[in-house]
Amino acid sequence: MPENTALLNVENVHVAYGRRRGRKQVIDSVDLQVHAGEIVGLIGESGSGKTTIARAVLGLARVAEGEISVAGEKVTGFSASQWRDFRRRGVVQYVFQDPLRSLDPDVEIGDSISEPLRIRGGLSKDEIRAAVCAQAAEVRLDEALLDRFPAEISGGQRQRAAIARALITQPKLIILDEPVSALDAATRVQVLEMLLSLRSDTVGLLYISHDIGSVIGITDRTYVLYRGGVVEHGATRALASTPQHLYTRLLIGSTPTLSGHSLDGVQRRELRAELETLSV
Amino acid sequence: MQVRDLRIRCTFPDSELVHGVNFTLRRGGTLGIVGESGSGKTLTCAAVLGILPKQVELSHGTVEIFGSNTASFGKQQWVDLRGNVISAVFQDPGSYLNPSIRLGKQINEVLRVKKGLSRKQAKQETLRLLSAVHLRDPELVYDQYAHELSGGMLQRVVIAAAIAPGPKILIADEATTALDVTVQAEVLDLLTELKEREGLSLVIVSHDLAVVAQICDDVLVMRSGEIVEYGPTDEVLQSPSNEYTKLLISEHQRYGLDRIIESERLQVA
Repeated sequence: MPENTALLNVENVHVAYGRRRGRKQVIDSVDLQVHAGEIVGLIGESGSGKTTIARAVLGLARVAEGEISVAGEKVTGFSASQWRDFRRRGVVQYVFQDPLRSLDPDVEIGDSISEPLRIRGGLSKDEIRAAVCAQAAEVRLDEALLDRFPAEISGGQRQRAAIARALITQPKLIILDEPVSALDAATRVQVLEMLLSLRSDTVGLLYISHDIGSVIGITDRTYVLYRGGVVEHGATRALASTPQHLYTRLLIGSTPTLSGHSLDGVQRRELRAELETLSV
Repeated sequence: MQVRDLRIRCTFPDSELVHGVNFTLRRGGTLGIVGESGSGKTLTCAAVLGILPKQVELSHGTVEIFGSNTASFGKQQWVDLRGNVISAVFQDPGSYLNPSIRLGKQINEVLRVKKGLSRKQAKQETLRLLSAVHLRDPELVYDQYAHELSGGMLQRVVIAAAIAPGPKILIADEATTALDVTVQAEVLDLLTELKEREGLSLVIVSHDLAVVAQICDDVLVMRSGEIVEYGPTDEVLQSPSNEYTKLLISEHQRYGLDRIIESERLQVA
């Protein structure tokens, strides 16, 4: 695919936290693209920098070097007011792991979903109400739940509400950060199916997770992040069945499956030792 | 260990939380308990350990551990049982360790109280335990504090403390849930190894069927306080009788590594 069709283009991005001697590089020259119509996975262990990349895309983490563009707009170098304007338009939206913390507990679900529209302005009350109902239907959230508070609905319903809120501005890019990790098995399947149904030619999804299972379940391509750098990327299926990098092999070989681990303890220990020598 | 028709109720508000649980853990066996949050799996473990929270009581049924019924146990008998015969590790290792006491000392304490070892013997034994759980530098860890170690390392320290008095049964309640997949695999390997080497019987509690499938001989599936499926792991996986078990299995086949394993061979090694 040609470069300019990428909805999200992350090029040679470095992110560091802290100053001077306390400075620590957490993202090291990461390249990553999400095209329209794609669901792209970003997988890595805790502390590998998955969320930092998302924060950099949203302008919440300072990019020390490199360039990020979203839907053709170069966002690195935006001023505060440019960011405000950019966020208000809702081009990119973010869904967090824990909807109980991302939804205001004192606001009814329906109002939480419509808030981005109200901030953007220009719509009548009736138009907003209609948009919320349509959005709730799209994420399969019962309309009767719109008058309830976050604490009064289940975890799966809350996550649907959070996703509806993200979708209501018709964003081009949606970043989902561990959206199903806090959910029970039955609800997880439903939310994953709903996410798959969101696939459209105009939207790109970046799906961040530590769980290779759901990444295999819904993504087309996957980037593997290890200690702040992308160590491997490619078509999800190929990556999962024939992983190349040591870390990816260890990750796949450590994931429990119904038919048993694909590696045994001894093989894993060898891979781990090899990986250690590599990263020293 | 044998659990018969275990019922647990909450006294206020009055409601039954676990409705009749039966299972048997054989000597050297591994039992997996699978279920989602609120299914009663942790309460069942708490009842076995005699640590049910206030306002929650065992209303019916018996727990027999090595032939003795725990219903008649007084405080001293419970103290003798816990640690020496049955031990447990939980999800968040950090919250079970004292942040201001060196890790080695905390394991020492267990050994001195439970086994009556001298200071010197306790230190030796602690170092042996720390290396038995594959901590790379036992001497260093001995003098460290909880905040200096990663989650996976802390879980090893907690496991070392749990097996210190030489229990026969170890309950691991979501012990690997908070860990990265690669670390989870290490801890599961460790538990399997300890089972063989120290002759432990294991109860593995998890929300993830695959974790249980990995190391358990028998599996028990719970939902809303009831057992919906119980049997040898292979049989349950191959021919589940309950809809909920089927759903758990299909989740892995549709949204899991199993989806790829079924269609093509993995080439990892």
